[in-house]
Amino acid sequence: MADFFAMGGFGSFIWGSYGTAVIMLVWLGVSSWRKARKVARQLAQLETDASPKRRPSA
Amino acid sequence: MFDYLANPSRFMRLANRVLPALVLLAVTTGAIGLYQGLVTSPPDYQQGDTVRIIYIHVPAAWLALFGYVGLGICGIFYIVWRHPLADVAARAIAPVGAVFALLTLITGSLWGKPMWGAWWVWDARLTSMLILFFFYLGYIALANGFDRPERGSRPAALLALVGLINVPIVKFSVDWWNTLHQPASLLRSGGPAVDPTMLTPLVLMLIAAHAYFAIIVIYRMRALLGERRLTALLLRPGGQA
Repeated sequence: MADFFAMGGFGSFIWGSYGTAVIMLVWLGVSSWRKARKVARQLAQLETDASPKRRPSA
Repeated sequence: MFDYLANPSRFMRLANRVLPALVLLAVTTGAIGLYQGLVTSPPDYQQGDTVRIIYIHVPAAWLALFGYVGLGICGIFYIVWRHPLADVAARAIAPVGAVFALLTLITGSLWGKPMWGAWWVWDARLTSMLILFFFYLGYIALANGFDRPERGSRPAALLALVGLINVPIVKFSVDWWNTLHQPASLLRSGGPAVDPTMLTPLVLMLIAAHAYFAIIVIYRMRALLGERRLTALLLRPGGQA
C-alpha cells in the first residue's frame, strides 16, 4: 500500500496531478450544475407568478 | 438537421434525453480508467510511474483542443447565420475548455519537472498550448465585457475564429519543431504506439473526459438559456423589472 502511494518516488507529482484534476473538474461540474438549478428555480417562480393573467401563445 | 436542432428548446429536450446516458458513460469509463491507470497499468520503462500522468494530461489536452474547435465552429455559425444557439453553445464551452487547458498545463508541468528537470520550457508545444488557454480567456472576457451580453457575441465569435489558426499549430508543433515534448502516441500514421495495458485506460479516460465535458456544457447551456428567458420575461410589459 505504501508502495502504491509512493509511486516509485514520484508520488507528489502523480498525486498532485490527479488531485488537481479532481478538484478542478468537480468544482467546474458542481458550480455549473448549481447555476443551472438556480436559474431553473427562478424561472419556475416567475412563471407561476405570471401565468394566470398573461401567457400569450407566441 | 441543423435547422431542426437550432431551435433551443428542441435542442435542450434532446440534450436532456442523452444526459443520463452521458452520466452513466462518464462514471463507468472514468472509474475503470482510473483504476487501470493508477493500479493495473505498468510503469513505463523510461519514465517509471510518472507515465500515469498521461491518463489525465492527454484527455485534458484533447478536450481543450476539441472544445476550441467547437468554439470556432460556433463562431462560424454565429457570424454567418446569426444562430443564437451557436452563441449560447460557445459561451457554455469556453469556460469548460479553459479549465481543461489549464489542467493540461498544470499536469504537463508536474510531468515535466521529474522527466525534463523543468516545470516549464518555452518550446513550441507548451507555448502554443498556453496561447490556446489565452484565447479561451480572451473569448470569455470579450463575450462578457459589455453591459448587454449580446453585444459581446460577435467580437467574441470573431476572436474564436482567429484562434482556430492556433489549433493545428498545437497539434503539429511536435512534428514541425524540435521540442522536448514527445510526439503523438495515438493519432499518428501507423496507428497508436502504446501497449494495450496502457492504451485501454487511456482510451477509457478519453471517453470519460468527452462525456464529462458534454455533461457540463449541457448544464451551462441550460443555465444560459434560462437566464435569457428570465431577462425576456422580466423586460416584457407587465414584467417585474
